[in-house]
Amino acid sequence: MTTHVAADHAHSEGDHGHHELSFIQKYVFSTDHKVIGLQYFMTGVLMGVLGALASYVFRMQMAFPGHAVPGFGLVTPQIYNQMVTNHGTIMIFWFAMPVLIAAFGNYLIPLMIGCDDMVFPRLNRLSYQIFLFSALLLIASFFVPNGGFGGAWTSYPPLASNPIYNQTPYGAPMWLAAVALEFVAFLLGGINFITTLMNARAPGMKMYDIPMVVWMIVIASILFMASVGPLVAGAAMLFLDQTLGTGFFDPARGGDPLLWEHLFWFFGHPEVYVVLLPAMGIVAEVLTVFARKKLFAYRTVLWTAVATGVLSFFVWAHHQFVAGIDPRMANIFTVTTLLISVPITEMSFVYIGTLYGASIQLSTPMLFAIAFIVEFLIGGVTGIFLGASGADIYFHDTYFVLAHFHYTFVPIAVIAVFAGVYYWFPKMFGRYMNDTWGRVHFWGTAIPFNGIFLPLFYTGMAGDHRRTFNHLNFPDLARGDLNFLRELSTVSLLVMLAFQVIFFVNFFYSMFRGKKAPANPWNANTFEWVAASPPPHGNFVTLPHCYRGPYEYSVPGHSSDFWPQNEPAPKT
Amino acid sequence: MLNWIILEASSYAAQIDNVILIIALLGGFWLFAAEFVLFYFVAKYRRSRSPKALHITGYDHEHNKWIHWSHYAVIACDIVILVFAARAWYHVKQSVPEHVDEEIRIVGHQWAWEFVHPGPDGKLGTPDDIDLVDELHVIINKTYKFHLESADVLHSFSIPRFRLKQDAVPGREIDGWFTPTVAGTFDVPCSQMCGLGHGIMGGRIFVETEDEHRKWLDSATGKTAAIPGHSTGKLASTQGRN
Amino acid sequence: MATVINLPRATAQVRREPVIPSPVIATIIVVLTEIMYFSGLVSAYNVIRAQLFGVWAPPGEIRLPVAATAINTAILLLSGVLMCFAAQAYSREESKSRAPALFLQSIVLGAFFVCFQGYEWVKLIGYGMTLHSGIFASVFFLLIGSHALHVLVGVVVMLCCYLWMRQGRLSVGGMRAMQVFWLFVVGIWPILYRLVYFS
Repeated sequence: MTTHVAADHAHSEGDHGHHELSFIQKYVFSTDHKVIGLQYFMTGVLMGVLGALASYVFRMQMAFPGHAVPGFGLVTPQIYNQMVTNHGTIMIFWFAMPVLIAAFGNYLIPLMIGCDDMVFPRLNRLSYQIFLFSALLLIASFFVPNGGFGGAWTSYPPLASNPIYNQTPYGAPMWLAAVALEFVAFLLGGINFITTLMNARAPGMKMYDIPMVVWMIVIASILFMASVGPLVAGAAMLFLDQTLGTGFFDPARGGDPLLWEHLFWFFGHPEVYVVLLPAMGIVAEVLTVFARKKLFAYRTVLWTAVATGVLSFFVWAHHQFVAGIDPRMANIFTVTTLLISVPITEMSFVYIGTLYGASIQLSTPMLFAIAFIVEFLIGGVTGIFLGASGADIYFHDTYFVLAHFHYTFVPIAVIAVFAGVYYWFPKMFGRYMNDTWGRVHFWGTAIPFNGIFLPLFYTGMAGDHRRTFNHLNFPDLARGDLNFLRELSTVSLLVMLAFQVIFFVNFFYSMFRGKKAPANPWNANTFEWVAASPPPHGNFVTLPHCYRGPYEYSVPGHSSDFWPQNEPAPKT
Repeated sequence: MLNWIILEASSYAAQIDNVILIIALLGGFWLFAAEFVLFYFVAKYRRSRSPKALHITGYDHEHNKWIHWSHYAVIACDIVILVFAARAWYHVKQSVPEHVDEEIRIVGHQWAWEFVHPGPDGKLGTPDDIDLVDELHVIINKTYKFHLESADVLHSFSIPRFRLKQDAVPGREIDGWFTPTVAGTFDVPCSQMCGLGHGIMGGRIFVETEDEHRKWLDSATGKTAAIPGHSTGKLASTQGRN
Repeated sequence: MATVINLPRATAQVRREPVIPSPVIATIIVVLTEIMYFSGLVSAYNVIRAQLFGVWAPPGEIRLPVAATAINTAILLLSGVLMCFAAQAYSREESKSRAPALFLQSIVLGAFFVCFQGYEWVKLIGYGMTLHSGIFASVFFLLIGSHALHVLVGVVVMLCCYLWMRQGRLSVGGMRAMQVFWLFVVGIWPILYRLVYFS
């Protein structure tokens, strides 16, 4: 194997000279993967706050219909539709994906595989810039005449394609363009992740030595690449329908609304695994460190993740059982959907298996990681009601669906993210977050979360349908017990939102005033803990060599209960 | 089990509820088993009780068998669920009963349901058809076949108490059926986002005895409600085909 | 937040020789994504065509320029072949000097393809076949237009690569990456041509 000096990619500006970089160069236009990762994190979290505010507005309307929402005002049907549409869109594309994949991926991958930066640093910077622009475009869509798009995040035509139907002639195409640009940003990011993992690993790091979170983010990127193409095709057609009045989805002119549905969900289903896999990766890292134990059946985790990814391409029409597809197709998709529950169940069992015979320290990150499993199991099992065609006839478009996917999405995008943040904060900023307030934040998040969505399973079963701005318009739903549950859900949301303030205060305070943290505060094995806290530009003083897998904890006969990957085996 | 929460008012509601019950039992079993084991491990192996962890790869049979065994059990449960779900699906969506008492046409509009009843002659598509907005009158225990269309965007015809749901797609006519088994008045909410008025797009279905229905027919003959801006009673999809 | 602080700088280190050059991997990823994009368009084409109640043809008496496009197709294929020769020549020291000429020829043929297509389009639009004149025309222009856009972008990037090659700034990996992209653009065309022009 030939070796040669000098990296095969360009260094960022400032590397070759000895002049000090300005603030703008260091933090705004940087090509350093850590800075870009944090930029994605901050922007993603900010967008998440906007998405959460939207949920505050519409949940207040659901619980107290017709009353002005404090701090906002009256919620008209148009505003309501815009809020629910953009809540979903923002949370998936501008919160979950950027934080889980772009933020953690950018920050961690070069560190964890032991190299100094991504293979294409300037492409990386470009991807963030496009991402930022897409976020601004989405926000701008609220300020144009008739406001932002309100046709649901699924954007089904003809509602979405014809401004006469949706009443948002500018908002709709802006929304669509923003989503398309976000896709471009993630494609560019994904190129970096995949290529860097393939070509820039530390010497000695074989396939099964790669930390699970890195694998998961890269597999998610591949999944995204492979699934987004058909949706971009559909988006091009939808955009032309919206702006130039073509008829791709207009039945009167030979088009077909169901064509959009298929193109959308062909991407839409793999997309949920695009966000699930990185979350499971983060949980794997936290579980192993605080259980002081190897990941149970690493290879099984890896290959079930791949199997899930592959299978995810064959289940999409379970979102369309009653949409007007050929009923015979429904049976095929029920089979594939039930099939995909098998690898996911296996992964869940394997994670639980990691805790068997462990030595568990219930640190704040560990609390979040365990809560992920607890809550995600509920989300996964409730999905079966929806994947089984006969049952989905009833549940489709009810709040049961909503409760199901929040029991998957919130663990993925919130709980697992918090686990990752509390865990890697010391590495990112060289200081600890306050642990006591972290625990307060944990309980204030995990418990109210159930208060929001458990009642919604019930109201969904009772017949509450989605995207309905006032259930009292339907006589069968104007019931005291359902009203109570809707209010309970909203009050729980208020409580959960209030507790997030604690997190933000803790986060920013600790960034500047937290207790100083060493390079490896958790006694973990993976490479990022070899670098200083925080790592300098270039990450490592000496690039590490990999001697073993990432989860060699509690190895019998070894002097300590962890064995870093970069430590050579002792000479006998 | 679902009937504790919402009435079963059609001939296939119980079958669908049955599917839901089976999923609840099997899924519930696995959920509680997994959560129990998870909490048990967290309690039993916390640092104060378990100062040193084992070093297990997870590939050896001794530990793996737990995953394997449950793996196959899950697949078995999936097959059971599949059988029940497919049978209910087939019954509701892939077959129409041999004997149909009456047919109705349903057209979804932004933002109201148009129901076309066959009228006294019992035949759909004749001049004595009764065309109403947001009102559907049917007779208890009679089997109805419906022809569902949309005049503009996607809508979805649903009657939760019947466990009935079918999207209305512009440019298509989609058929379905139901047999009401409980008299009363029930919601017919639109179940697909259709714009500003989606939240008020709710009809009502009146399930009547034969006498009540005859009384209604007498008073309704000749009644056609106008939906401003849309033609009534015609196949909406033919309008654009010229 | 101090992610860039004054610790000893990491020094450029020994790095393994990657099996597949990074630019090539990146381009393969782009190409795979693009293939899925075109698959989406092609399935849309097939679905719309299958469901159409009328005749699947250009509006009115317009006929697609099948014969002229056949020649254009051959030109594009030739461009692809020349690109392969150019990349192959560039990857060996002894043949490196032959690469620029082959490369330029490939670029010229590619440019001709897109210009000729544009010329045919202008004619079609002149006859009244526009994005709006029916679903056939809409699908045609989107599908073929997407491809034409990729040809155009490809030609522009190839020109940049050619200039870098002349300046000695183009790596072999970069040339191979360009080859991958161009082969995708060239290779997908016969499929689209067969599908659309012979329907």
